[in-house]
Amino acid sequence: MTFSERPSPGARDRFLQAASRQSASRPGAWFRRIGLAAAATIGWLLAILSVLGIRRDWTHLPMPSLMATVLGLTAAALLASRVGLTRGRSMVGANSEVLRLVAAGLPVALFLLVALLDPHGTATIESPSVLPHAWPCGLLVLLIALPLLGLGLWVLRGLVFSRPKLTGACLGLASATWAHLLIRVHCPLGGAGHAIFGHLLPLLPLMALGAWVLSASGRPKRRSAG
Amino acid sequence: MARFAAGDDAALAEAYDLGSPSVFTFLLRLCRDRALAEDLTQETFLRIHRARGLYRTGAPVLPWAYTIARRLFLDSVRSHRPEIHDSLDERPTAEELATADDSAQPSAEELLADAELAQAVGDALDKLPQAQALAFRLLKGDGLSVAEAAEVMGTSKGAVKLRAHRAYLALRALLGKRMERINP
Repeated sequence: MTFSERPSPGARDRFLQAASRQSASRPGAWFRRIGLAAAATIGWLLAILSVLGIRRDWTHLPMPSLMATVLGLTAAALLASRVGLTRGRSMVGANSEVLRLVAAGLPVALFLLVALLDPHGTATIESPSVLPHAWPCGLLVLLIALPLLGLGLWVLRGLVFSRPKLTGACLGLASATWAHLLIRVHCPLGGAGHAIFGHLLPLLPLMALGAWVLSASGRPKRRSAG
Repeated sequence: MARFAAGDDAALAEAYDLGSPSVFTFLLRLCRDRALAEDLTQETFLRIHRARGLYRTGAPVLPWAYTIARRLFLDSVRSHRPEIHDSLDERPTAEELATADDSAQPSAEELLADAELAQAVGDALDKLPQAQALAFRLLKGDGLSVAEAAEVMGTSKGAVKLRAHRAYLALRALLGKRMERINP
């Protein structure tokens, strides 16, 4: 019922000439990139943790809320990384339902986790005022997360996504959540307000940045003249 | 495609020969400009060429290529060519299609009937909203699954089904009994 048309033979020749001038990614590039990014992420997080140190009240924290927070943040970061860094069934990323669910649902789940289960022990310092104490933590989250976001974008370099903004937002969410986990392990200040404003909210600019960069990076700088 | 992804340069031309008619036709339907469609087809295959090391063995190529093509088209509309020409003069007529050199194919009458129906459906689809027409073409014309069409269009499977169904209803209203030859 439908008829397909062919590009001109000249177009084929132009394509083959252009392809011969361009370098293609080597076989197995995807797994090399994923492996390198995972190793670099672990190395970066461990290096930062060794510099910042573990929070002073660590041994006084109640185990259930501490475990729930650490495991919850780790699971959220792994899920966002998995969804953001997948090639998908057809090489165009995760499907839009999954992306929407993660990009919209996970921040809400993290908000509930942080608001309801903030680890608080006898030695925890209560943040007297939220915003003045929150911004240094927020800045740290951004500084830790930005290289991770860059790594994620590097892994995806060369791919074109069906939903680039949502995919980029998931990458931003993943990087922010890894950084959040690290800061939660380091920061001795308690209180849901501090955790929300200082540790959680930086995910918003990171999601926006990921969405913008991945959306813009797929665009051709100029059309190939052949 | 596996040979191509494994770095076999000889497979590049084969991949282009196999995939370019579908991608070119897909783009031609979107932009209605042969020169632009050729440029974007070339850019689509260059992107696939550059990303060959990232290819997941066994992944369907057509939805991948269509997604790249669609994104390139949208970018081209946004940034390079605000005007899309409505000049499909080069599109083969029903007679040309019916007299195509397909030996050992259906009879000339059948081909002519198919070509006329394709022409009528194509003209009717042009009157529909682009999202509906694209959903219908991907499912009925290119034989993609609902999931694959959803990936190409960047939307949910439910939305694709709804758009294709609406397109079918609109086509049936426009074409009447001739649509009975196309399954809903």
